[in-house]
Amino acid sequence: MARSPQDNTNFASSMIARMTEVVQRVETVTPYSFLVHTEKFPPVRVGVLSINKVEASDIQRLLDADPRVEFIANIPKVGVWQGSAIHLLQEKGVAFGPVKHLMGAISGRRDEEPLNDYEHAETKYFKTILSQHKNLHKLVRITDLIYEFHRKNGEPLLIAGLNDYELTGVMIRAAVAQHGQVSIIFATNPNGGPTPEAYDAAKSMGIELYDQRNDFYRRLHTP
Amino acid sequence: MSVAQLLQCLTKVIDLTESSVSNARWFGFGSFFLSTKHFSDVDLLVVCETQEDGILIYQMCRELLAEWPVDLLIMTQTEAADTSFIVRWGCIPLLGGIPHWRTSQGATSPDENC
Repeated sequence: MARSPQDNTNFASSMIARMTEVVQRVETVTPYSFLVHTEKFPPVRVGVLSINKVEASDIQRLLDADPRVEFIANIPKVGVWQGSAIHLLQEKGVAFGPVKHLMGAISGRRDEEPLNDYEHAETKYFKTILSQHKNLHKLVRITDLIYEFHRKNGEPLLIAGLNDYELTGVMIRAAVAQHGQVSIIFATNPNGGPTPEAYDAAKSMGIELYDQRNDFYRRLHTP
Repeated sequence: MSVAQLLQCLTKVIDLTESSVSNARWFGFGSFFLSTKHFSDVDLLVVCETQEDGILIYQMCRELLAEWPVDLLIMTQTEAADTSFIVRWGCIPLLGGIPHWRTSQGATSPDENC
């Protein structure tokens, strides 16, 4: 079912309009974008996509239609943001994520600054963990969930951070099918953890699964 | 594009999986099912007998997942029992698909636009 950009924008903006505790009204400005008016702060300009795998060309098309967006929201929760798209978004200073993250950004706003720098807590947490490792030489983002971790000592590793509250065997397989094969998965949700079947599924695909930071850190030192 | 269309799509997928995979049970939880105000995504849980069934169900849900803000969790019966997920998250059984849930909420037809 192909939907028009206007349909997608209307749907996303209507979800935001329901946040009546912080949102006064929404206003469509182009078929790809809308404004969110709140009581306290200047309006937020949001771009909307509905794509399973977001590429740089999708971002460019949206920015051509509205170069002033601060945040680009993708309707499918499982939509993958490819590294090339993330690179362009960072270059242009535009925040991104599923509609849920946009809602978090709007409701968590504490000052008049635009949302361009917004990063969801779980993304920030995983990136910080990787960035602080002593064996890190260079970090390359492959998708929104996967990083290529280049090490000072040892071969590069493809690492995914999965934040699922309950990380099950099927969801491990689904994440790999959606994002691609990795060598390591780190379960980043501190309130949940992988099930025994998740460990079995990972092992059967040749993936090491960790949920303890110390074990994960130790692995990054191991050649 | 509306909540009504989303529910139709979801109902179709539930019907398809129920006719193709035996003993798959669908549940709803989170803001869409439990909150009267707004929702950030549609949280769904499917409990099935085996991982193979779960993978089949995931494949049947591809269109739903690719087009809507749906967060789908699939677990085996063993995982559901071990984690007590259904009880801890107050999951609502979607018996006979979405219309049953809608009716239980006092709505006669899914005509509400988002």
